[in-house]
Amino acid sequence: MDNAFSPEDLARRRSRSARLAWLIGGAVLFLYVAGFFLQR
Amino acid sequence: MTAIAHPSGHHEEHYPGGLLRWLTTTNHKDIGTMYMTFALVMFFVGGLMILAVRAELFQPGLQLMQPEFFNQLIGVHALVMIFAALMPAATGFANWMIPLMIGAPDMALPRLNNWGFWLLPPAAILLTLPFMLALFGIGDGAIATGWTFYAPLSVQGGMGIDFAILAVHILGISSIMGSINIIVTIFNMRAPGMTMMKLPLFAWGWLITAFLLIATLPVLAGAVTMLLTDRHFGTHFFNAAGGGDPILFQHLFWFFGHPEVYILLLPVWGLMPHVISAFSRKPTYGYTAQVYSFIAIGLLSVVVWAHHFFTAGMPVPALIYFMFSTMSISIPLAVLFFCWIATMWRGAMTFETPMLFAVGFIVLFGIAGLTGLVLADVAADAQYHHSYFVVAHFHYALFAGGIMGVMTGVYYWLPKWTGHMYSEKLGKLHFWLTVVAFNLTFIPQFFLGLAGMPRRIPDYALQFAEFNAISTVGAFILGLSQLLFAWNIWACVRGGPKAEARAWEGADGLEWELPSPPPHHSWETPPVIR
Amino acid sequence: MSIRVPASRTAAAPMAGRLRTWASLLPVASALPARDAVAAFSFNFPEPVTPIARETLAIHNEFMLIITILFVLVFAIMVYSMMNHRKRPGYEAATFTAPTSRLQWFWALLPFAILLFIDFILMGIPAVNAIIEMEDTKTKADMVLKVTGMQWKWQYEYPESGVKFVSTLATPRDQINNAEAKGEHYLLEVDNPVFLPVGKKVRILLTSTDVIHTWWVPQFGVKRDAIPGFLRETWVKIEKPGIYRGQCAELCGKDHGFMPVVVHAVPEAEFIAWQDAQKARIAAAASSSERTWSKDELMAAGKDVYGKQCAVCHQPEGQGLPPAFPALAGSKVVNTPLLSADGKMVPDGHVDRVMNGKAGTPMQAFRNTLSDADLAAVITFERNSFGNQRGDMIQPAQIKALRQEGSKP
Repeated sequence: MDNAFSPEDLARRRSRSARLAWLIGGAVLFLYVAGFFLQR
Repeated sequence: MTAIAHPSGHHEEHYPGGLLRWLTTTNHKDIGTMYMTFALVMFFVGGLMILAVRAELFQPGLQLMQPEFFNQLIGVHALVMIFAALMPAATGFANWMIPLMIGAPDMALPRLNNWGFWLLPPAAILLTLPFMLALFGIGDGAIATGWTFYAPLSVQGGMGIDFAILAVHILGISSIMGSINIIVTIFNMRAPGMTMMKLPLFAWGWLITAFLLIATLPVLAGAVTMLLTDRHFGTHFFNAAGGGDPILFQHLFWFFGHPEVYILLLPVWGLMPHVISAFSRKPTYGYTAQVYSFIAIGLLSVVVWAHHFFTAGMPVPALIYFMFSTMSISIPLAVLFFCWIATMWRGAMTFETPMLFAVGFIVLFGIAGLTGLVLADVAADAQYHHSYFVVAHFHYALFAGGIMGVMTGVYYWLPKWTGHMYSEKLGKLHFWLTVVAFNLTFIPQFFLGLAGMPRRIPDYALQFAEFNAISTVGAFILGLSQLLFAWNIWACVRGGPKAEARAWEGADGLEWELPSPPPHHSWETPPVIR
Repeated sequence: MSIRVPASRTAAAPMAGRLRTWASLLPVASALPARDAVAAFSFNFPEPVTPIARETLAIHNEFMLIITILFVLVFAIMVYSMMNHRKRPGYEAATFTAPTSRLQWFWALLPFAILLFIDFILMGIPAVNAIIEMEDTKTKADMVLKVTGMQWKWQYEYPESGVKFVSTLATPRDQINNAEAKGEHYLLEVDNPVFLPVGKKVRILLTSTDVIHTWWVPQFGVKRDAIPGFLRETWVKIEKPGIYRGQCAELCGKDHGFMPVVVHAVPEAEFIAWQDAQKARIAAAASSSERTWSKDELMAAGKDVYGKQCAVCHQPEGQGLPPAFPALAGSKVVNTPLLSADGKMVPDGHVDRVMNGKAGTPMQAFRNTLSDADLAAVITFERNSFGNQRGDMIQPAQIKALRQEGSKP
């Protein structure tokens, strides 16, 4: 990869990271909220 | 590798100076430094608390404090050490080292990183504020239930518990943000050619840690939120009279609590092979085996939680399942020990301070592992549980395993961070004092536990007096010798012999290809991975 | 914990002596008694007196042997390496990173095969047997003892005979506060010890009225949580007469360190005699609630009950430990009217608070643990002490009537 860490490449990596971060964050929030409806 | 160009840091001029620099920084090294500093400060705060406790336990009878205050100190000591010292130290390592080690210019989400750190100081204040408020006659002090928040004691307690619940939420959010950042950085920011199976073991250890945090912290947050609603909004999650179950809290808490042990230890297990390999001048033995062991330990850690409350009573099949699943963790853990020792085998070893700490870690953490194996046994556990035997066991895991592991990493990478060599003489003195005092403190506690001394008691029967006195003497030497550590770091930051880019002769890894200290932006052009 | 075998302790004695001399140089230590009767250094479980405790000790000894051997073996290899594989001129470090030959694979995998064997066979099989025995609470149980944990005392009940009493710490506060010399069984002595017959399988049921407690007697090898709203069970079969001491093992609030367990294991005949005496005592207490008491009698009895049951939180002079434990001196609750105009309980009044407690606080419902006479006495005492001058009193018979009224209106 010749253009590794070029501004475009970094922007691409960052937006991919942000998407994944929101996904994980959403999963965490879901786990947290779902817990309250857990019946034992 | 030699052809890496480092364009002069023309960005640096735009950064504000002074305090504002630290408040607004998005640089992974600045944030890493702040995490490490915060952890060191809180290490001393938590240490002072437990020295007060050990002073009270020096002799039978109540000398220095009343039981209420004693109960507050032990709980806040644990919360501070776990959430405000060990976890931030590990995150500090991750921030400083992961971008350097995987050839990335910075963490993937720098602003999230900044936010993650700045949540910590308010949380630490929340945790300790009730102590101050009580001095002014407001409330009855900090959380007095131990760090485990067990309901219904925590439902009954004063407002210190609400403060602790709030603090744990904030600390949890901070950890989750840090974990998300580490995961996405490892997934997306690696230099070209850095495949997952070439990833440094430290990054692997942290990757598993981050996943564990994300899987278990929401459960802890949920449990303490339920506690909060039980306390103030009339719910009955943990109140049997209202159809709830106090043991439900223990299940939820330890579903987080057991993985938490590995959350504290995996970063250390990750950095250990780097140190051992560097000072043995020999490549890491069994890289693949260690990676799979990390994964196996991560997976096993979420299915063994109930061994923390065998005495609460559960069906026989459950007891047997949790016993054997706990014992199985010994297999991947033994793989790690095997690999560490095999890395040393037929190497060309020298024993600078980081290597001393690494060896001390292996031996003492070995004791934690072996006593852990014994504790897994349900029948014997009935005697060990809630006693000082357990206290000694988990301090071998979390002090000798966790904190001495962190010290290994600090001494190993300090030249890289500061550009100076620390005082080897002071470092070695610090090591020997720590190891001797640590054992002086905790070996007697094994015997106290066997003789039948319960934990978390402010006063004890006379047959426990001698061992307690020895333990207290050990604790004070241990506490005081940590001042050497702080002084050594401070002196190293201020000056000292210039550190080479490759500060240690046998050190291997991308971080040593950069100058010491590294430039403001780590890898603006990607390194070439061999 | 109490029965000591002096012979096995002699080796530790000189060391203990030195330490005591050294400790006595400190001013606080002058409150310590000469302690030759109590062994100082003990390195293993106390002498087991039940089948479970014997088995636990055997398992513990076996496991300690196994892990000591593992520890020595593994670290002998490491120490050998650290001595011999050092950097020196002309010595080249090896570069291997994995087993390369079949033989090497064999040696690399062998430790894990051994570990598996240790985990699941050597340690696993005795462990499973012990668990099954430990949890077998019902087979051939001769009698039942019900243990109820409460902040910070234990209540014992023998359902078959109806004997029921509360057992609290007997060590004087002055000893705890170093104002007088500590006795031999400091913190491990109670006012009413529980009696159990030797050689009988006793099924122990545990519960709690407030928070989680843990009933633990080390020499029985038994430790089980007492959980509010749930019954947990365990069993003991004591093989040797004696006095056995233990403590609450689960942090249960302020006085967690001050709620010991003392069990007197006696021959069956002696147990039956003790049980009959208890029955007679309970009958006497019941008849005493029928007669009318004088105010002086109530005050005297109340002072006694207050000292045992209330002073730990509300303090000997009624000053309390605010905010967790309110003062009784000048208390709003104490100074409510005794009863309503039609002779009923005043909701959230003094009688209600003492009998029914306050949910969510350590203030417990004393209707469950105190007799009618004790309740009447302590209520009368509180209303006329610490500067409270209500001047009124309540009779045991009135308490008995109020009990029928049910709990909170």
